[in-house]
Amino acid sequence: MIDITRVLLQIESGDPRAADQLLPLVYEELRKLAAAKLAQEKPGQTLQATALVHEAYLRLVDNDRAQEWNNRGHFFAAAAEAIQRILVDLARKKKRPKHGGDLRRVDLEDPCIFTDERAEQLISLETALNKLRAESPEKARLVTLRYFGGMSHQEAAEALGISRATADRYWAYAKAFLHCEMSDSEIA
Amino acid sequence: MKPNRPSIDSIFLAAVEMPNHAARSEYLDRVCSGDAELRRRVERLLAAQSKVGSFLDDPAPELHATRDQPALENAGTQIGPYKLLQQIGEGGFGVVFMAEQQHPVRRTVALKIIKPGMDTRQVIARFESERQALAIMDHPNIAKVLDAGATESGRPYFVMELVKGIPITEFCDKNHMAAEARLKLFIDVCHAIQHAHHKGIIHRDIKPSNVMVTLHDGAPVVKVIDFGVAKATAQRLTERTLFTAFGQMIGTPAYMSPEQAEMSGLDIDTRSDIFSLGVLLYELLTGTTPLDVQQLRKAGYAEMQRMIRDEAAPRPSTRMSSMGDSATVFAGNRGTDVKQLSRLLSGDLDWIVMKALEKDRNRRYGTPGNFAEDLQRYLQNDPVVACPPSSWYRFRKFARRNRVALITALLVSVALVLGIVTSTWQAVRATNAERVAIASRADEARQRQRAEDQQQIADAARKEAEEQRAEAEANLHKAKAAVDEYFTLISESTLLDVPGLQPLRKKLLEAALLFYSSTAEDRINDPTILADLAVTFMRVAEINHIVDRNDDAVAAIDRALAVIDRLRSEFPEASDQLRSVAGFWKGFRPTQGSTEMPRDPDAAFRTLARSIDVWDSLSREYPDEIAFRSDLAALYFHMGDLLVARGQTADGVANFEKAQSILEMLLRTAPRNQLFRADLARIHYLLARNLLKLGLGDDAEAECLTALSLGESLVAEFPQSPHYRSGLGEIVRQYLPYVQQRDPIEAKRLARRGIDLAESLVRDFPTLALYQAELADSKRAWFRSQLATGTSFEEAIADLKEAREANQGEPLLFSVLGDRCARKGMWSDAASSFAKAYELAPGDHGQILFAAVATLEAGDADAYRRVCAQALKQFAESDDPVAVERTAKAGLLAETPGADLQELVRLAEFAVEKEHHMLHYFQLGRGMAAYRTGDWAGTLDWCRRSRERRGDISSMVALDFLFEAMAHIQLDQRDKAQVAMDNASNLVDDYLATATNDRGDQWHDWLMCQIVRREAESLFNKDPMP
Repeated sequence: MIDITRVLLQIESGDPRAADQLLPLVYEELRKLAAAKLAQEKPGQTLQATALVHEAYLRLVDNDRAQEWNNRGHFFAAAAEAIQRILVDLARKKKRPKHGGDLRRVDLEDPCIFTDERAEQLISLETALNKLRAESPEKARLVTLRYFGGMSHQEAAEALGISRATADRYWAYAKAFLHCEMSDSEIA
Repeated sequence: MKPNRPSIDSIFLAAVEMPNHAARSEYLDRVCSGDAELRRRVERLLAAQSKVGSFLDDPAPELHATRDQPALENAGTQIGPYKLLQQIGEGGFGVVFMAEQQHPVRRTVALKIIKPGMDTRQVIARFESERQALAIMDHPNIAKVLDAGATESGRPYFVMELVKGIPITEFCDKNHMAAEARLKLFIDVCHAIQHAHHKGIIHRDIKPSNVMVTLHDGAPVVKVIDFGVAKATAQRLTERTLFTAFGQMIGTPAYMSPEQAEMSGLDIDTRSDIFSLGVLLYELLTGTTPLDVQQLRKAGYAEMQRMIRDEAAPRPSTRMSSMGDSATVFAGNRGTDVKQLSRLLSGDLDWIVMKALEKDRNRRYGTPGNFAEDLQRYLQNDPVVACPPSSWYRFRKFARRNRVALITALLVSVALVLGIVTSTWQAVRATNAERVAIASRADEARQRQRAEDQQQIADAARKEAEEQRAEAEANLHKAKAAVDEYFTLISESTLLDVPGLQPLRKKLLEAALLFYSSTAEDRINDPTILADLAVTFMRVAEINHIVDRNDDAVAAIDRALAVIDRLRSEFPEASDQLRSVAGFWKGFRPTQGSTEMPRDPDAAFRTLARSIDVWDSLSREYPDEIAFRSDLAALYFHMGDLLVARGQTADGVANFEKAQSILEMLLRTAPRNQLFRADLARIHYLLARNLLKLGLGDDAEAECLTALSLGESLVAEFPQSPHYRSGLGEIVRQYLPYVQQRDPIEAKRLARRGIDLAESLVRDFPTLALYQAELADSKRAWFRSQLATGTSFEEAIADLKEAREANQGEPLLFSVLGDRCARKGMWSDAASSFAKAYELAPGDHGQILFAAVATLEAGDADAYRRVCAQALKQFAESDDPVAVERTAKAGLLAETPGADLQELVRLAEFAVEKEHHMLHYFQLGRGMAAYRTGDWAGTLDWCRRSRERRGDISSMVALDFLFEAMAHIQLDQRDKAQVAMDNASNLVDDYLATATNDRGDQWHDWLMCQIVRREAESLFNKDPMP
């Protein structure tokens, strides 16, 4: 198993390249995890993406070695971004015409795990988020942490290194911004 | 756009916070003036703001599992050479079928198909790697694993010998099997696992459903199934643990060893099976697993891991007694009753189970065979190998993990005490209600017209009263059990001896004490409660002793003795209750480790003597109750200690000998019992010390030898126990002088042994000052044995100087060298050695006075000032009165220009405020401080008090007289001064006469007298003031 804990410890010790390694690692692991988990669930059961992140953390990070909030913060931040990518990829796939293949396989290649409505919503959110990112990357990141990473206000604020009050203000603005953008795209 | 216009988000946020629409418009007009586009965007955001609601507040969308799972195999399906006949079981891992094998032989087998979701190739590969080993397993109690493969749908399966049985726990309960029969069946399980271990197979998943019992010609036969399956599906185990509903794996985590729960994967060995066997035995005996299955199921993954790793299982007997009603059912299933069962479990059987369940696998049984042998010994009433894990060990593990928890424990204890107040209050309320009930019933008899009403009220009140009292008693019981456990944890932990933790330890114990005192109640007429009360008082005594309140300890023992007297005189039939008192005499050790002696040593003596009487007759009345006799041995032990401390060495020795003969008798019945052996070793050691004092050197040497062999055997058998190592170290140091004269080479070896022991202790417990001191003692002994090999003193000193060159950082070497030189009067060598020793180890306050007197005598005023300044820096803020006092005394020894007199006086004052057995030394220091500050009357007063407090230490009394003499001169009382001078000179000269050539190891006291005497003489010879 690729040692995410090691990467986290490298980040902790200030290795700048380590941070770049983290996202792809976490992305891969989360995909595998989600697939494994979905394969075991009974049809119709659901899987909370954020719960997935927490399980991934427990499974992938050696808690004895990496107990620092900093480490947790790095991991959850990477995981939030990974989940966002996974979900948006799935949503995009769903909108494309289905391709053939082994119907017995249950994994994330199978876009059935979303309703159409959800897929639409996700893609529109992603577009709006990209616009927000262009204007203010930090606010976009806050949304990723909160919405896709399931962090609390406090945790997200700590992960971004801003005060709780600032995070609240960012959040209020981001919500209004995204809402505007997404209603625009609906009209369009 | 204005260059200094705020960003859109600041505008937006400011606008949101405006109190009303008008203010908002006004603000936007102003801030967005001239930029209509900006204004439009902000307006849109504000409009959205009122609509967003909980938009995005719920985290990301859920993923749905929508695919059907592949169809499962059914009866009739053909899998390789096997035809499925019928499903016979289903578990978390898969489905089990009875199947018919058609070739190469026709037979019926069991076929277990693993549920989907794992890499079949890996499972098969792992199975293949163990197939050879599995094939050579051949044991009547093992169901053979025959084959493994993959179904068409790609799922792994295992083929096993078909066992038509039911899980062992179910079988035992169904047949109401008694504990003894259960143990016998369980021993067979151990043998089966032992066989597998011999063949290199670890089971990894021992649990009731894998240990089946079938009837063979009417006799139950154990069959362990599923060997090799857990390893092959190991990956599955972890995946399941992580990702599936816990409902699917009921049972498994409850049997998992801590190292398995850690999931480090590779590091599982045969001792994991021992743990699971322990859980199985626990369940067979008590009907429950050590960890509650329900709680495990509820716990999250990390919490579950934590529980398996950290949560100590209650002993089986404790579990039985805390189970309440359900215990009756379990007892019934075991063909016994609760009381009988708890008694059966407590003691050896408890410890056997707990040994198997040790979290640290090194402490478990080494093999299932050892486990079985111990059970066999238990069944034959032989002494068992398992014994109570020391509380210290448990505490060490606890404290390592939980520094914070220690503090929490304090809070918990406060909560407990509050809980007691509540339950006591409930009990009082209950009693009152009962009284109301009784009163109203009496009323009913007199006033028949209201009989019905009253009856109802009375019944209701009585019922309520009974319920309340039952509840209150239950609460009290629970709280008491908790405090007992917690008390044991704290009271016996060496770890809390760490200086920083001392105050905490004291607080924790005092909280416990508060609890115990609140449970004490008189006017009790139930023998069980009386016995309980006696035990409680003895606990109170123990705690008081630990927190240094020995007088209170003595008082508590008196109360315990009174209760026991009552119990014996009023309830002569209550022998069971009386027996429950056995093993609790912990009381107080009058001389051990306490700074405060009982203020009334006579009372302590009387109490000990009475305790001995009572326990002596108890152990005669109940000769089979070993604990009474071991209590009695402890009592003689304490009595010996107390007598020795009182100077009655011969009487002390007689008591030690009594303890010795009891312990020897106990050891005849239980030759391996380590506690008895440890006590006996200690007794021989004390005998050696005290016989030597009585001038019986040969006898003392014999005692040393006995103690040494006992100590060595304990250390060899229990190398991890720090107590045994430390005890052996003491014995070695005691024995060393005898060997030194006879066999210098052997002496060196022994001295080295002492250092090794102490070094291992310091390595294991780097924070314990106690062991640091032991290491220092051992090193001194070693240096001395080095010296003994030298042919002459001078040669020895040369050796030491050479050793010093090689060991520049070793303060002890300098201190020993200083000591040697000082004895020979080589003051400048002594001074430089001690100054260096103290410089290297400024925390060792034992060196302060040596260094101070030696440098003064050598006339090295600079070195003297350095030592004093160093000591002051080190100990000015210390709360150890001995260190503080030595610092003060060193500085006050000579008139020194520029000394911080005020500070030295403060230190001397601090020391005399402490209740300490060295108070008379401190009083002398206080007198010296008075003298140096010109307080002549004060000098006279303090020195007299010191002198009168203990009159038999000549060097010190001489110093008292010398300072008194100088104060008299200052007061111009020449006659009185002369008398004091004469008294001092007589003492010092006597002292000198006994130590002419070698000044002995008291040279520093002698030297201090010399230094002060010279000061006094020069003052005396000065012309009297005109």
